[in-house]
Amino acid sequence: MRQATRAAPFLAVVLGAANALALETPPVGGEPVHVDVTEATSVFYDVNNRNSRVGVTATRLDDDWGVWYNRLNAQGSWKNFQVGLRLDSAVFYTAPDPTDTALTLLGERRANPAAPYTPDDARFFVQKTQEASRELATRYTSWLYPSKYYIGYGGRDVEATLGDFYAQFGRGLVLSVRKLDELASDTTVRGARVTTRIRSGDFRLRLTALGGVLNPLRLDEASGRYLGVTGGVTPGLVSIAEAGMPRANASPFDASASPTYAPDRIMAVEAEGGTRVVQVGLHGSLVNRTFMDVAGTPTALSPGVVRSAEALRTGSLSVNLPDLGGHGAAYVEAAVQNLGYPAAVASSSNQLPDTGYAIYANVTLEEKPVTLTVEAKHYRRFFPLVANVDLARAPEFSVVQYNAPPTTEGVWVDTEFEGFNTCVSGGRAKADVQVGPHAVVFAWVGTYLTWAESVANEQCHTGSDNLNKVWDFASGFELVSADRRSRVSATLGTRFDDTARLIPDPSGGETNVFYRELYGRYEASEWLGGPFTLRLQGWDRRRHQTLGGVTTPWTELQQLIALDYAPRLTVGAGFEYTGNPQFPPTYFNGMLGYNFNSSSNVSLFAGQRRGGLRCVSGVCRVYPPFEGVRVDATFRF
Amino acid sequence: MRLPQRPSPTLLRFVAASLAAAGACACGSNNAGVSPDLLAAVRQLNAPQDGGAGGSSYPAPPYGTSTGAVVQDLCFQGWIDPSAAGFDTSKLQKICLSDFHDDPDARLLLVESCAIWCVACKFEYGGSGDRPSLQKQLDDRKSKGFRIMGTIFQDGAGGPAAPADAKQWASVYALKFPFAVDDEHQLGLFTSPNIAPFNLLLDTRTMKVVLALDGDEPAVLFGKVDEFLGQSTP
Repeated sequence: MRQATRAAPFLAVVLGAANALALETPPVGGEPVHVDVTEATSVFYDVNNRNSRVGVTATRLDDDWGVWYNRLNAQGSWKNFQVGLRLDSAVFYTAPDPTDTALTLLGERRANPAAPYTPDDARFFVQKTQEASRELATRYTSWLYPSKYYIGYGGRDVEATLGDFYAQFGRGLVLSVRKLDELASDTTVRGARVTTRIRSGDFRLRLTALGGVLNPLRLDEASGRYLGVTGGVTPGLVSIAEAGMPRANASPFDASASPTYAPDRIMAVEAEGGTRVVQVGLHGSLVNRTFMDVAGTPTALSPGVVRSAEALRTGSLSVNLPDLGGHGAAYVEAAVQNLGYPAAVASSSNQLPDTGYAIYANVTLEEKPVTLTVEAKHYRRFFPLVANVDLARAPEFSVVQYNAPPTTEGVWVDTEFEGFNTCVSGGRAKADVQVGPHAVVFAWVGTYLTWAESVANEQCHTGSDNLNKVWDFASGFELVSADRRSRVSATLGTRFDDTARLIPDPSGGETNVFYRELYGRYEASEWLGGPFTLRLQGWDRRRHQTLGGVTTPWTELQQLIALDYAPRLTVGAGFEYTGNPQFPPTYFNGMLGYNFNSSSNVSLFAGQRRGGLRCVSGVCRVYPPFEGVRVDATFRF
Repeated sequence: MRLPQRPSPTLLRFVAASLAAAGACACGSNNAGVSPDLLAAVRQLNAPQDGGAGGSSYPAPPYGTSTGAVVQDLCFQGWIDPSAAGFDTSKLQKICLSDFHDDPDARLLLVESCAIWCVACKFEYGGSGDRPSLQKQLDDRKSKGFRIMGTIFQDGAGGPAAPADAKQWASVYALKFPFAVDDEHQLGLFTSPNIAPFNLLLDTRTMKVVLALDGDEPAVLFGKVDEFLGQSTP
């Protein structure tokens, strides 16, 4: 209750901000100056999110905390020039205390609270206080920092940016740094980029060169965790890019602060040229790490096959046929990837992966009323370019990576386990048939052979002992009303994932079943007349994972119902259920949204939200469960 | 820019308890919330007689968790040889890191942390394809001073591991090396409870961290093991 009272002034600031800023500037040099200011702010309070485990400190430290998280984004443009600055801040107005947490855990452990403290009690208390203080050294720290800034020039033939920018080459095999709202990830390159365009008749050539320091978002609002650097991982020019960014804190038990992120550097080039018939692209990137010097050995913050690589070289050749005579399009990209290790690491292991490669193809054929899309992939030792993050102390940032090899699956698919996509062959064919002026039916089949899902297999040995065979089927429809005010889409799908070898079954036997799923997804909006629209959304799943710790199949339900009063008001309610005994079964929540205009709004969420794995195009992170209240507001001027 | 942090009325007692725990101060007993009895018990921890089975030869504080730091003497309930004990949960005994420090033939200890729900842990223990099992990895290197102690910290539902979970795990993989229950997740000092497997390499002569490895990374792990055993003088 005390914490809720503390939140009140922040809410007043949020709700009162609508009229606080209004920027108009007079013409400069005869040209108007456009200024766009967006203020996105969130205040939330997380009560007990019901993930507490006996004796596990970290599960107690994500309860009873609250933050005012603010993103002030200002952009200006004049003639061909643009400038932008985004300031992020987080003020944690309440957070757990390490000593209190350790005392709570100790109290739960002692059968007789009146008994004298034993050496074992003291050991337990000290250990849990250490754990808690180390955990809190990377969480709930209030920061104000320049998350993104840039100055740019955009002309007809030349574009140049100094500062932060997004970048994607080809289909993401070589380079893909962008914003993924669903995963609370927003990575840019902080450096310089130049793009030139050359035209000659029908021929077009675009050349891009970029370089700088990778700059992921440093604050994770879902967990209160932040990425901190130290002087030891910001040598030379990196220290300029890292100026003003969050720094690592030391816990009282550590002599010095250890970074949770060591900024990676990147250089990349791209050349794309061709005509309207065929376009050829060459793409290349080089990611360079900064390692900690540990007893003379360069060491990644979380050593691993990819994170321990000092130089990550990736290159690709792409061919794009954007128009197959009016009947479709085709794209193919072939890439190679070489991971270079420090001599001390390379000489210590003969198990490190050799140069890998990837081939991705996408063909779309259209012959009305049928559209056929075929996507295929063939990857060998082709890894996501993951960031040099300390996974133990900042696991929420394991999602930070600098490329995104296509999965060929639905963007929501979260069942490519472990290293599925690093050693795989397969693809998916999807057919869409227009069966009426407002109706489409579709179906797909996907099949994959992967050798890195049920075993760590960085060398990508393709023997049957490592093999998983996957079949993925789905079908569905999309209907739109004649007035286009109502629509419904639904998908029913299933997935079979079997190992070629027998694996132990929880019941004591053996099986080839690695994973099974049957699911339904739907989304519907029904215009009720006047300003009212009813919206429904759901994703219901029946799942079975032999080795995941759940001995029997389980059900997951996710339902959302909302009523829109256009254009101002939305009222919604949600329900989630999971039969997985690792998590509480039921989750209820409600939502209220109000739009001031098309770009300014405020929303209130109250209730529970299930944690777990969320994926977007094969990039996944584990979200903690949430239980509490949050207010989000966005104002644009 | 780091902003002013929220007021912490318990900061003083927190720091005091922390320093006392680290053996770095003789803090008084006037800290609200932490009873004098508890603080006294904490101070007793640093007395020479405390620790595991190894006793006073164990390196003195300060202890840490990062690479190169000396780790404190953690103790667990487990089997020295699960197979020889018939995976009998009534035969669990105290196993401490100091036991390995006191082993004159030991040079490098791998402390492994797994959970019933962890898929990657199953393949780390059992091996697959051309990947040897953890028992085989040990057998191949035991004569060079390599040792392994496995621990299990959570069951299939994410609850604290019980002796029955240790029995299930150790018997499935026919373990012959020390295996213990870490129901209070003592290895949480080094890693997150969301991460499994976790592998900690310790130089048994100094009890310093050689490598703390999150996740299943056999190439890196056994590369380091072989590098250490090759370099370390017997």
